[in-house]
Order: sequence, then C-alpha cells, then structure tokens
Amino acid sequence: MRYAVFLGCTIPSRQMNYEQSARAVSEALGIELVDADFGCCGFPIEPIDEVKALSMAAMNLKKAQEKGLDVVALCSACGEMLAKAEETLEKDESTAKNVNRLLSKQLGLEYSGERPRVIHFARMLYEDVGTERIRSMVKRPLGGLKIATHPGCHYVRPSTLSGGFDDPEFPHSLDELVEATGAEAVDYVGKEDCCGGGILAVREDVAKAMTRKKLETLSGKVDAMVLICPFCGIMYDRYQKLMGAEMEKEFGVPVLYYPQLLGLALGIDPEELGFDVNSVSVDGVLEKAGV
Amino acid sequence: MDAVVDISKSDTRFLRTLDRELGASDLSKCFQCGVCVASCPVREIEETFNPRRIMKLAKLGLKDIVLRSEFIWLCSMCFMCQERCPQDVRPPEVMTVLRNIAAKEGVAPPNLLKLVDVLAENGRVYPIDDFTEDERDDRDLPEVEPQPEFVMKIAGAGK
Amino acid sequence: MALGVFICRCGGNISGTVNCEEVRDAVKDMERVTTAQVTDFLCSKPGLQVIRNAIQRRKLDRVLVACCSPHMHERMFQNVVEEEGMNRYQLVHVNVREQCSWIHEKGATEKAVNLVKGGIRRALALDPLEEKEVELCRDVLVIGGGVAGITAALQLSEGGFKVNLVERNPSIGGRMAQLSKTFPTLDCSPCILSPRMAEVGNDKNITLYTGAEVVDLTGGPGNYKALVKQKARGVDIDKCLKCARCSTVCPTEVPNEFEEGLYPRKAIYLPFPQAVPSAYVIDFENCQRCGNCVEACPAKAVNLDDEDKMIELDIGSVIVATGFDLIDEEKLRSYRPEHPGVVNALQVERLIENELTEGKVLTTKDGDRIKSIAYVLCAGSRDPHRGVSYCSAVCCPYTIKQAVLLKKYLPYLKIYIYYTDMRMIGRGFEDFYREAREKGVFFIHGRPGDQERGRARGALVRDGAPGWRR
Repeated sequence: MRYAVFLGCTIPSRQMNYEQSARAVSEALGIELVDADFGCCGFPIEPIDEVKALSMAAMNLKKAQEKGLDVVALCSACGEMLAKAEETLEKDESTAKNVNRLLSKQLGLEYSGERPRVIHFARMLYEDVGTERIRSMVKRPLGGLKIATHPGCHYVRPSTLSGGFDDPEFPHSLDELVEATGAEAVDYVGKEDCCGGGILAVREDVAKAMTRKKLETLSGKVDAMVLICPFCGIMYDRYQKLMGAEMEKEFGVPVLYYPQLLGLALGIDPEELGFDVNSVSVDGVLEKAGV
Repeated sequence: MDAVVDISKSDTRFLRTLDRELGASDLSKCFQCGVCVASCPVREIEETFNPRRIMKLAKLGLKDIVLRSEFIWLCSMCFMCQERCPQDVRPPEVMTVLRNIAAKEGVAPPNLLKLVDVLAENGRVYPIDDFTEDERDDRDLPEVEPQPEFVMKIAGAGK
Repeated sequence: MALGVFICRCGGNISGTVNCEEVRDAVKDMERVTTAQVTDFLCSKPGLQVIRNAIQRRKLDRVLVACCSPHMHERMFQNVVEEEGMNRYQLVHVNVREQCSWIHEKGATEKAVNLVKGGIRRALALDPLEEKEVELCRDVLVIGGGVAGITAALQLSEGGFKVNLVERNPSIGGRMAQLSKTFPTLDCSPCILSPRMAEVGNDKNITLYTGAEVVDLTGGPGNYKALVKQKARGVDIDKCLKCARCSTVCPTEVPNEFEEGLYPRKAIYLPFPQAVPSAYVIDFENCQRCGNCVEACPAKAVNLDDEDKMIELDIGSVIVATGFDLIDEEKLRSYRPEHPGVVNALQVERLIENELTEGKVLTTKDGDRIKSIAYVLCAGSRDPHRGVSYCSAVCCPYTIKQAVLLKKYLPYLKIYIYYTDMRMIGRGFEDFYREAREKGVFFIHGRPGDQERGRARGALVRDGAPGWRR
C-alpha cells in the first residue's frame, strides 16, 4: 500500500510527534508513505481569498496525480480542504475558471480536473488496513487504558465530502481504532464538539473556552485523549498547559495522537513516537501502558 | 447586533453577488428553523454569535450590517449546522463567501489578512528555519521544501 | 383509409399559445390525411357540423381531433362520428390544451405538431372495434381498516356494493383508535370511532378479514383477483366471551403494539376494549403453545391448531387505505430516541389514555415525577436529508392538542414546544393555538439540534427537560 502523504504546514514544524508516530506505525504496518513537494492546502486563507486557497489545493492535487498515488492527509483540515477542492472545482464552473485564470497567470499551469483519492490517515487505517489487521499486529495490548477520542470536525464532516464513511452525528471509527489496540474508548458528553482552533486567530478567548469545556468534562475521568488533527492537538495539548498555568490548576488529560497510541500497542520504541513534543505530561499513560 | 434593521438598505447588487458566489448552498431556502443556532459550539460560549441571524440578514441583502459585523468571522467551520440544516443552506459556505466579500473590501481581522502575506513570503504558515530543519534531521524525518514556490506565487498574486 | 384532422382554436385557449394553422400545415400533406382543418370551438354545434360534413363528403373512416382533454368531450365526439356511420373507436383524441397550450409558452406549437403527428400514426393503425357487454365484478376491496377504510366500506355498503375489508391487525380501528382526543374540538377519538367500527362488524354487505394482508392482485378494473393471506386467529370469534381468563393464565408477555410498546400484553390478548371483531386473538409468533388458555376458556373458543388461510377474492375495484407510519428513528438519532425520556407522539396519546385519565401523573421509570416536557416539531419533515421534504400539516395541531390536554390533567407541567412555523390551517385551529398560549404553554421558535441527558440544546432555552417528544 503506497500513499502520498500530505503533511500540511503545522505538522512538519510544530507537531512532529504526529509525523514521527504516523511514519513509524505506517512502516510497522507495511504502508509506504511517499513524500511529494506538496505545499499549503489553502485552508488558512480560505476566509480571505477562496480562489487563492482553491488554487493551492488544486496544485497539490495535481502533484499527487503526477505521482499516481492516493493522498493520505494527517491533518483533518487539509483533508477536508483537498476533498472540498475536488468537489467544488468539478461542480462549480465559474470558480474553476477563476482558479485556472490565477494558475495560468502565476504559474503557467492549469488544473484539469485531477482527482486523486484523498482521505484522512485514520480513515486509511480504518478502511484500507482494517481494525482486524491492526488487532492482529498488536504486541502490547493496552487493556486497562481509558481513552476519550476526539474525532474532531473535519474528519467526518461535511458528510457529503466524506461519503458518510462514519456517522457525522456519532462518529465511531476512531473509537474502533482505539479499541483495536486493546484500550477502552469511553463515551462522554460533548464528544462531537469542536476544539475551537478555527477561530483562534480571531477570538482567542472563545477558542480557549471551547477547548476548556471538553478538558473540564474529561479531567480526572480518563487516562488520555486521542486525536487526529494537529490543530486540535495544539488546542487540547499546548493550550491545556497554558490555561492550566493561567487558572492555576491541572486538567491532567494527556493528549496523544492516535499513531502514538497505536505505536505503543505495536511495540514500537516510545523514543520513536515523539512523546517529547507532547506538552502535557504523558508519563502517567505510558506507565499505565507498561512502558 | 441591533434588534431593529432598516430594510430599505437592502442592496440588490449584493444579493446578486451572493447568488453568483454561492455554490451548493441554498441560502434562499432558509426558513429560520434555528437548528444551526442549536447545534453551534461557538454559540455555547459566545451567545451573541447567531448563524440564523446572519443568514437572515444576508438573505435580506443588508450588506453593511453583515460585512461589518464581527460575527461572520466567528464560525469555527465545524459543519455541524450543515449536517442538520433541513434546507441545504450550508451556513459555513455562506460564511466563507461573506468573508471573502468583506476581505475584498478591506474589512477583515488583521491576523487573517497577515496570513496571506506570510504565505506569499514564506510559502508556509509556520516557517521552516534552521532549527526546525535540524530537529527534523534529529528525528529522522525527511527533508521538506522550506519555501514551496507555487504557494508563494499563488498567495502573492495581485501584490 | 381516409383520415380527417380537426384542430380546435378553443377561443384562444389553444390558439393563444399554439399556432393552429402551423400545425395544420405541418400535417395536411401527410400520407392518408384527406383533410386538415382548423375551427373555433370544435365542440359547438357548428364545429361538430364541420366534422360531420367532412366525414360525409370525404368518406372519412378515421378522425383525429386536436383539442382539449378527452375527459371533456371524448364521448360526444365519439357519438358524433358514430352517428355519421364511422366506428367510434377510430376516433383519436389528441390533447393539445391541458397537455400543451395551457402549460407551455415556448415550444408549444412544436409540441402540438409532434402530438398530432403521433396521433395520426395511431389513427392509421387503429382497427374498428365492437362494443361488447361483459360481466363485471362490482365488489370492492378495501385495504386497510382504519377510519378511512371503515368510512369507505360503510359508504360503499350504503350504495349497495359488497365490500371486502382487509385489515392487517387483529382489529380494525387503526391510528384513530389509538388517539385520545381529536383536534381541535377535543372529541373522544375512540368514542366517535367505535360506533362506526361496530357498524362494520354488523353490516351485511361488508366481509371483514382481520389479521389479513393482500399478497397478490392481478387483473384489471372490473376484473381483479385478489389473494389474501389471513393469519390464524386461534380464537373462535363467535364463541369468545371476552372473559379474559385465557390471558390471565398466559405465561408469555410481549410489548403491546396498540400501546406503542409502552405496556405489555400476553400472547393471547384482546387488541383493545372496543376491538372489532370483538374477540381475543393469539399472537402465534410468540405463543409458547403451553395450552393454559385452552384449559381456561369456558367457551372452548381457543384452537391452537388454527391455520393460516389463503383466500381468493373476485374484485371489481380496490381502495387503498393503508394509513401512515412513523419515520425511521435512525434518521433522528441526534435526538437520541433510544433514551427512556424520549417518546413519540403516539406514545404520548397512549400515556394520556392510560395514565392521566386514570388520575395518575407522568413519572420516569424510577418513579420521579416528570415536571417538564419538550416537543420537537418538524422532526423529519420539511427536511429532505433526514426525512421527507413535505409538511404533514397535522403535527402542529396535534401537538397543541396534546399540550392542552396535558395542561388540563397536569397543570404544573411545563410544556415547551420548539417549532419552525406554527401551521394552524384548519377551521378553529388558530383559536386552539391561542388557547394553548393562554394556558401557559411555551412556544420557542427554534429547532433543537440534539439532546443530551434530557437537556435540550435548543435555540434559546437550555434548562432541564426530562420528558421529550419527537
């Protein structure tokens, strides 16, 4: 299984733990992640100039098509942006024209409807690899760990883009992936809530309050939170530390990327899973996992 | 936001622009059921954020109120409203179009406007400097293009 | 073969949009078309005279009229051509009004030409037909024994028709029997229905098949054959005394469908007190065949060896009155329908009938008194993605009805109705709505997104609402 891996902007510089662990578990599962010279997917500037944003996405799609590979995105927002670009540029003629006008003027190129399959990394594990296969490769079952998954927003929504592979109301694929490691995925109020990362640049106070809500629900009730998007990661991990300091309390919710959890279960050396990047201390969960 | 609006200020050209720019969204079908408000995670924190109201004002063509309000920038694009809207209004799409129109008129949060410049100069939202490259090397991560040219060219268009 | 084509202007109704002369010119030189004419008001005496003259003079054996709908004058045109010695079934009637000039602006003439050309080809292919009289079956099959089927059956019987009424459940009555009161007058629903049910049971013209479904229907109007599968009842309708001794000793308990699953019933049971046929019935799917009921019955009415029957019926026409069902809950899963505090409207009707009219209050399974109830209107309607795109037009009035009833029995109950639009379209409905507001029912303009643990995430109100409704 070979995929072009789309890293986006945040992961390669700010959340290398996600990248390290994703590459490590891919190798262990026999998946080849091929790098291409992708660039920003366009999501951050979509509010300002949608045509520029879609143009960036279109270029990335072209590069993937050139490699002849499906695209696996580690960041949920990137995944959504690329999938949305494919849809929009196919259905909306005038937008496609505007994009091509920009592309030919700036780069002398055009987007000619390249549509490689674009899915999220976790969805690839769920659909293409399958929980059964993952379960069979687990060397260190993580039974006893209580995990709260944060599926996030762009992983399953809008369901018109994700083809409804997972329920947009009550997503369960990430829970099943967690349970494939032997850990227990718990239910909690507000599971489908957004981390607030999207408005961090506009109203930091509101974004922090949205993040804080889930942390307060989970504090003291779970061994860790597992997520699959670097923006959610920054909110729940980095900002947990920050808000903890501001409020002089500890939420005590370690935040792991799913491949970090999976890596532990597959018996990969924790050194290779990037735990040093995680802000909130993961000592507790590592100890409980028997590492 | 004011409770009373002056409907005579309805701007037909704005409505035509909206009609042209909105793709799959069916803003005109909105019958103000309010499920978007009920599903919005931002609203739970910031009670003045009201997607239903923004849809209504946009539908009425009240360009000034809509574009100058802070609220079109508060949507976190979680798409929950889009999942539940019974009439395919797609509020996040509407928000994006409104934001684009506002930005073209120079009304946008400075942080977001800055992002375009950052991309035009560096090709990345977070620059890859020497420290980052060293760290990636330490972690056995492959090299990445520090300044993707195509991004810079696209973002820098029209400057 | 000699065909005459007659195009009517219909006083502008057709000629206003269709260029009749153009249509005539397009077909007048076609093979076998002897004459093509345009007239005003083909159906008038002078208009018909044009046809008559043409038949005589040109010895026409086929006629095509391009005019209004056959529903209007087909028989008259057929009579006319027959009077002039032609076979009435070699008249072709082309509708260029209801199906052309009245519904199109652009392209109407072109369509009319196509329609007439098609009619010409048809006319040339027609053979003369002779009328024969055949034995028709005049019996009617009514599928569904709810209030619609019951009313249809009784009216047909009055008209002298024999009716076969086929009902899937062991008793007729349908949804109306399940309701508590009707809106807006608050009439007692089973009270106004059961006399009609009793009439059906007594009517000599109506043959009632309960526990039965139509499994096949073949043939055509006046000549259908219906195949009805009737489930074994297990109880002799004429012998049953309704003494209830059988159900007392029955060991099997299952959810009662009439009570929408809220209460149990036994495997041998009376569907509801006013059931017609007025007798017990055995649910053989759940029956354990222990035989207790056979022993207990003083009238020896129980027969555990009763078998399903296949019944063939000769039928002339069919009325389908199968009623409605509730939407698939899965579509509304964001409201968590599996939660014990979430019920549907039919269940509320049963709760009113079973609890409130008995002087009890509404409680949760743990016995805590329910203090508030929230209604979510338009759940699954006006919503093509999660249900149907149309409005049922009954949810608003019946919700008000339930709210008014609930307030009458439980004045302390806080009732919140989350609506999108209040559609009070019938006579007396608006007054009904006002009554609800006067009685202190809260109306909130906003559809909730979801509910968690009985807390509505609604547009404005976010306090605890442990009772719910879809």
